[in-house]
Amino acid sequence: MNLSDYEKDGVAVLEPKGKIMGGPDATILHEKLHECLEKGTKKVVIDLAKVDWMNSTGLGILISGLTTLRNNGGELKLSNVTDKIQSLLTITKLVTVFEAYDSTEEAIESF
Amino acid sequence: MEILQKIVAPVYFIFGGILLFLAYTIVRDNPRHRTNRTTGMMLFFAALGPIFLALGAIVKPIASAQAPFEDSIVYNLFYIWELFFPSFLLFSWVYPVDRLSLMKHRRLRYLIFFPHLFHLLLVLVFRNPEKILQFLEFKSGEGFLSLVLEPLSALMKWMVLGFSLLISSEKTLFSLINFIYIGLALYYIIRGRMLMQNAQIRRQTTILVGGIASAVGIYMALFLIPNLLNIDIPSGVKSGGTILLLLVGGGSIGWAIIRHQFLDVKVIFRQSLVYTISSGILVGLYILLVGQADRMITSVFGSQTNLVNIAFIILALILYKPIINRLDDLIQKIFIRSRSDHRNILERLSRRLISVFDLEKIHEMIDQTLRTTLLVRHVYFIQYDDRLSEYVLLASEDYPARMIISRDDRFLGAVGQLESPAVIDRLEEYRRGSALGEAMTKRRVKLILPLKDADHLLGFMALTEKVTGYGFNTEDINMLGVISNQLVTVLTNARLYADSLEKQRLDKEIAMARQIQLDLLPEKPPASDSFDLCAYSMPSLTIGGDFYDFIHSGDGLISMVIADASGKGLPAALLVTQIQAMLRSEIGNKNDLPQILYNINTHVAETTSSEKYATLFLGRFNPNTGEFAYANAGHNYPILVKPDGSHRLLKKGGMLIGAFAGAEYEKDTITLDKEDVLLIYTDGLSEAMNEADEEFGENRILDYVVSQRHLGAEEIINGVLEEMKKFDSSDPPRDDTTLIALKIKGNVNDR
Repeated sequence: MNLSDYEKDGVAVLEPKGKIMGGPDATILHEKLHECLEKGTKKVVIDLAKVDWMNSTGLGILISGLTTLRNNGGELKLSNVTDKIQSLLTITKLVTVFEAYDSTEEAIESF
Repeated sequence: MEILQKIVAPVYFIFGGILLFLAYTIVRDNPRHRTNRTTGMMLFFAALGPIFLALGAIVKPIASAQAPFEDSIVYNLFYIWELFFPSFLLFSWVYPVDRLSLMKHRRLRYLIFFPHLFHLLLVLVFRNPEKILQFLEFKSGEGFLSLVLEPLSALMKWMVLGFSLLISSEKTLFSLINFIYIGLALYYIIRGRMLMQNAQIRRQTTILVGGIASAVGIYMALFLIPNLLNIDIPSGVKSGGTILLLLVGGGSIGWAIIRHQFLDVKVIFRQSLVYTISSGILVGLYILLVGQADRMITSVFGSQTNLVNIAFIILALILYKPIINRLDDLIQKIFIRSRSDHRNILERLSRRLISVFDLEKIHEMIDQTLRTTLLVRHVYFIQYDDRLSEYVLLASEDYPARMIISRDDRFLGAVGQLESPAVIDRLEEYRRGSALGEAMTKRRVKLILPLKDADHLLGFMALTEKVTGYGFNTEDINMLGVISNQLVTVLTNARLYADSLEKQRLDKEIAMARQIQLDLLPEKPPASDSFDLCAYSMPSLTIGGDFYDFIHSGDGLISMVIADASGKGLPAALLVTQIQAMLRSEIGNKNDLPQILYNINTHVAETTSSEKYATLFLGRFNPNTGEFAYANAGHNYPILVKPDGSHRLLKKGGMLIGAFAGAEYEKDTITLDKEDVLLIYTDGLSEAMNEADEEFGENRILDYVVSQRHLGAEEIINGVLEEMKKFDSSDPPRDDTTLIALKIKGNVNDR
């Protein structure tokens, strides 16, 4: 997984690319989220357009990202969720906790 | 006897030459060392003896009656060799124990030469006192000057007469003096030997003392004692004895140097020594043979000696190469393959080290080798301890407490910068203010050998000076460099070996955990005439994050559960084991399904981090009514297929378990009829992937179950697994794979 990021209207947008799996991916995403929190950015959108696959550990990373932000008074939203990930979110009922949007702009505006 | 007289001169020359070469080699090897200088001097004077004897043997036959040989300069210069005795005494003060530096009267070391210098003067100047007396007579009777000179001249005359008297008994007198010198020297050497602790040095001293003492003993028996007691020994016996004593004395010194590291002479010098001595012997043999042959031929044919010489030279040229080659092999075999030869030390050490993985044994071996071959007094090891994650100065015989070294120690840092063995003086500036540096000073460490692999310092070896007091020469340092490199390899291997042992231990524990996990799975699914139940589970690692269970709750109901924890291996297994335990107790409490999931979820969410979660499907089947209640906590939807091929997915429930405390769950209740098939599975099945990165997927599973709905539970599981294997042949599977199949056999109304 590669991770790039930018900020727009006070919202941090993270763009992971590739597969989100366990191991180093968890550390990279955690560090990035903590970086955002330290800078005072509590609104984060993860753009999943370029994520082809995610396993259970990857899903765990998203969940822990969400809890981290919420515990600090922030919010994590998802955008460009692929069908595969959407079905994963549906099965696990995570759709009820993750707000998912069709585009990053919509996600940013929703804050 | 005649033959002996003939060969005496060349043999003396050869021995003299060898002794001179020995003296040269010893001084050349280490001119700054007192033992080398003293031994060199002793051998130099010893060499003069046979050389002058040889000259004498040549000159004597041509001396005439007018100028008898006893008056010649050659004969009298012969006495220079007697300086051997004071230098032998001096040697005994230096070896094996250096008494000279402790001696109060520093001049004594020069004074002991005085009697022999006087003797030399005596025999050179006063051999013919008449000549000097004549000279003194001539001067007297010349006016005023004679007034002053005459008493002086009288005094001189008396002195000369006194010396002449001495001359007449000089042989006896100086034999006595030499006798005393030898006695003293032997006393000091033997006493010194008794003080030696090191076995190698003792052996060396024994050979040396034995050789020199025997040589001197022969000399005393042949010359000193006959001189003292005025006994005549036939000259043939004298010559033979002299050759013998030279052989014994020179040989023992050579042997001690070559085989026992006497004077710590470099290997290359030791080799050249062996070559020189053996070539000397060869030349001696050649001369002997030619002489003999010459005489024989002359006696038969008259005087055609030139021809014989040429024939012998041609013969020698032909034989030269093979003989030298043979000699070479022999020397290699006998001498150079000695314990102290550096190549042999390395070879032996590496052969032994290669099979050892115990660090303590490795240290012991190296310590032993360096102490017995290089004669190092102590070897200390400083090593990175993996368990402590610190550098440690290991315990040694003389300092039994180990010392942990702080990471920012200046001295340690400086050693880390070294690329090759270094004398400790090079690190002088880092020694102060460093605990390690002070420890090194206290232990009198002289040489540091860093142990480095590609990028970091594993530790270092610290060597004190040698027992002999000699420093480390380039040969030693080169060898130590090779040994430290080898040690790095061995240490790395030992560490890998320890790691693999650790891994084996871990594997054993995991196997045990796997057994516990298997024991937690139901041995057999519940069986009945009215339904057919089957389960299968295969972890991708030895232990997995999937589990299934069947629990009877006493009221005839069968609870069935399948769960999949996020991740794999030990952490996932721990999570499912916890969930399984809670489930059993919750079901025992007869709680309703949503309540059970609520309790478990809240507990897990509060006790583990949020990225640790599990998906879980819990069903409760009443075989009597066909009623099936279920709650799905974020798990893959189980598939229910009706006999007519229609199907539904069991979705109702709630959030996956363990991520969000307080999540609520719902249940659904359906009725299972005859020939209904229910397949519950984990994502190991649906997410199996082929080479094109395509997933096996829910639809393929669904299609299979729909088309094969007439089969029994076990056949359905085997069939779907077979389909999956066709798709993804990974063995073990990429992810934990678990399935439960339920087939209803009898109609509810039939029951």
